[in-house]
Amino acid sequence: MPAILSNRKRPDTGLMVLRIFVAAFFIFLLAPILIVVLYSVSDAAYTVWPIQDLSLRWYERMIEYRPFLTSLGFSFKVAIWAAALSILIGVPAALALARSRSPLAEAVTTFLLAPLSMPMILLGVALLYYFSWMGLGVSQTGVILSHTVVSLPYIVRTVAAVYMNAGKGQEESAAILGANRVQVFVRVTLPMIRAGILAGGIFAMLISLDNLPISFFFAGPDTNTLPVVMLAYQQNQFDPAIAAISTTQMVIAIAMLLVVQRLTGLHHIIGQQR
Amino acid sequence: MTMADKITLSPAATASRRRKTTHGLLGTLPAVFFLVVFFVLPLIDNTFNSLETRAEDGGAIDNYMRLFTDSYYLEVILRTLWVSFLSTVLCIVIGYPVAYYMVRHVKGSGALLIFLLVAPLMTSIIMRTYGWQILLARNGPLSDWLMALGLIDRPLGLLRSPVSVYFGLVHILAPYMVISIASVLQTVDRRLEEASLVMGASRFETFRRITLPLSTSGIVTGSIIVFMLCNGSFLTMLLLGNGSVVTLPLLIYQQFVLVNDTGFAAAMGNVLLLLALICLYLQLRIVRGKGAA
Amino acid sequence: MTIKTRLLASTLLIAAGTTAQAENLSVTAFGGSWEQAFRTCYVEPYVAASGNTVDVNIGSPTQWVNQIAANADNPPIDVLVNLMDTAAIAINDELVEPFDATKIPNLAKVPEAFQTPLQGYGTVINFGAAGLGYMESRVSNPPQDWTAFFDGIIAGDYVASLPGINVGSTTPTALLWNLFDIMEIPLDQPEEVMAKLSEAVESGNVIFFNDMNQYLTQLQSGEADIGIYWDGRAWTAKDGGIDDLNFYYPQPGGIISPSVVQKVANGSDAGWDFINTMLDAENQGCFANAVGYAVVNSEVEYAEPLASRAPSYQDVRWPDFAGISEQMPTWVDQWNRTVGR
Repeated sequence: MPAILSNRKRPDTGLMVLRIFVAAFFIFLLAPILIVVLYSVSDAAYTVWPIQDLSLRWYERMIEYRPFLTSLGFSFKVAIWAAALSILIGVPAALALARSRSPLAEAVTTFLLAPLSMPMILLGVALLYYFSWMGLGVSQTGVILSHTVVSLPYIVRTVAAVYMNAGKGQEESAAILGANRVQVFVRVTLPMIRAGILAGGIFAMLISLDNLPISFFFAGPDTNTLPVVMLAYQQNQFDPAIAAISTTQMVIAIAMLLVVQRLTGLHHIIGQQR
Repeated sequence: MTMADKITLSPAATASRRRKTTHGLLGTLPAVFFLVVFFVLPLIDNTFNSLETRAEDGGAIDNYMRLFTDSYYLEVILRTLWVSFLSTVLCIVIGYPVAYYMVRHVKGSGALLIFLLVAPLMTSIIMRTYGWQILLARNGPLSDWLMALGLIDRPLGLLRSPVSVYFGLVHILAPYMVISIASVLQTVDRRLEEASLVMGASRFETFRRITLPLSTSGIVTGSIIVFMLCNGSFLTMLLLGNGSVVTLPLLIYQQFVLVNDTGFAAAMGNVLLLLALICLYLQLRIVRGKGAA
Repeated sequence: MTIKTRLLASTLLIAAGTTAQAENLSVTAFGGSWEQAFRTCYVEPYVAASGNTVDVNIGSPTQWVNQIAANADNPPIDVLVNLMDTAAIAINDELVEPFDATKIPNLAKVPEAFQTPLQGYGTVINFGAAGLGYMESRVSNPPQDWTAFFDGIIAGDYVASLPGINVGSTTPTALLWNLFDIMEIPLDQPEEVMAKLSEAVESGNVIFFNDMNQYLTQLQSGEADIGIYWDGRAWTAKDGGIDDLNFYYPQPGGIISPSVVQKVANGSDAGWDFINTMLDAENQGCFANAVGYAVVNSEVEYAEPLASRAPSYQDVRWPDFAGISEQMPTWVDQWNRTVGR
């Protein structure tokens, strides 16, 4: 349907300008990352640009340095847990807030988004002392719960935004047609907010994977996340192994996104099924 | 609230909403409880901490007095808000067209573009910064190309100016804006836009009167996320810009790592949190107020 | 033995404070090659000799000190490898125990100078010294002394890379204390030093590094020509492929940058033996040659190239660590208001 409309239009300058702008944006976005990927396959320890010789030896080094791989695994574990917990408690909250006419709604929304505005280094220290007082101390549970605190706001906000924009018509029609609450939720509401959950879930994972200021305070032999290990490594040694593990993390994360894409259709974020 | 909501809200539906007001927020309970236990309580602890001063004879609110009576700290507080505000505006201006293009003009490769969008966020901040250091160096590629194009005649000293901080900030924050806007933009019914065009409105007019208002909640989401993330971050300011952009989180970092005055750090954190929450609340109020009017 | 009697037996043993079973010791280390040398030269010999197991926590001192402070009664760390400034915090907050020479026989082979700065709460284990690293192709005539180095920046002879205020441990000693020292100004009067630094910054010939590795990137990319750096890191970089880089200590000398070890209060007593293992001549020699830093046991003999590069602890300058620690809040504040503008 809408495609017909755009096909009918003559190629226009407006669209051309937009295309160039978008292309420039993606170049801006990917250029520094390209440097990192190139650096990871350069042969020299201290690279002079442009790169002279290519080598995979930094990937060997990456595999040889144990903490890289163990912390990489733990990082993903934390990210998935934090995203899952956030979705579990964040989605009901978002649905309630999006439709609520209660005068308290703004206050509650502000409260649920508050962890976003707390400087993470401070939150990290506060949580370290708090969990230690609870007896959880430097533990995997501590890391996961801390990351959930900072992931939750993303889910709440993205799901609420999408749900607010989707009209109530469909849900009400379904209810009138005799669907019960569970059916309405699974068949109507869930597909409606899918884009929000996906976007929020991705945000939550990104925030968790890249988090240094909180993870830092919870780091121990069993609780090292990759950013903490990378920091510790590069403080004493700066070689392309850092770029190699960085690239590996990115590739794994993209592979996970591919799985999500297969399972749920990532393109729902930009709504191609409509 | 958006126009779509207003259209569907019949008087009867509004009445049925009203009845639900009492238990309308029930769904938020688990999340609220979670944050009370794992955010508010540690924060209270932190607040007690902020009342302790280094000086033996210090008063309870000395740390706060220090922040609010010294023009230097006031300047830093204002700069913190300004940097966040400017980054947010930059992200909207840059991010909206990209989101619009992805939702309206991309046909087969939508997922690919999303991968490209989030890939940079999956490398560590240390490596991203390294990338910028290479690209923006005096004799780096950017300077070279701009000189080759004849746009500048001397190598740029970008790494020493605040410009590189904004490069770094927009680079990591813009994807959040794009995804936030895109996820809302895709719910906008295109028939409204088509109807507007059919009825003779120009494309700009259609965009201004239909598309933009209907995607407001996406812009708001993106702005909140970008503003808050920027407000709390210090690594980009630490590693780029040659120390030319000093914001509150950077001062907090210094108190931890260099000075070990956790009381003062806690006080700065509370001030930052409070300011951010006020901005957030006002933003939500304004948006809601407009929709409900 | 039934489970019950075994439980009873172990309870009695713990009560008597003489656990015969293997213990698990938790120690800290810096990451990368440092950690690997640490494991090979210290952890392995210790494990072989004691039968205990050792967990190595890699990370940064701020993290460890907070983790110990948060769990002071039952600390997650027993032996704390630390830097000088955070060591002072650990001593102040009573997180570490005073050293007992009878529990660490090898301490006798460590010169007094390495112990006094820690006031009896630890010892230096290895050290580097800060000097000047420069690119030979761009700086043909490097300044002979520190005063000339700073004057050269202002005169525009070269662009210098200096550690920014946010680099803990280094800036306070290698840059700030260094300036106080050569300008012969008391530590509590920072105005003149900050003015000198501001003048250098305003000349447009200074770029700060706020992360250890930025320095090397800045020198390689041409952003800077010369700058303050440490011997060990500079030599590693040169050996690793930056041929153009050279390093030296300007007069009146390099500034020491030590790593220290402390025993955490309420931590396992097996920690004493681990510290003793770390100070053993053979193990120290193994570590020094692996990472390229000088060590403290006076019986250690270095292999080349360290033998000709390692500074003597008597030649390097020792900053007034206690005085620096006391002045840090003022220095950071002054820096933010003047140099950091």
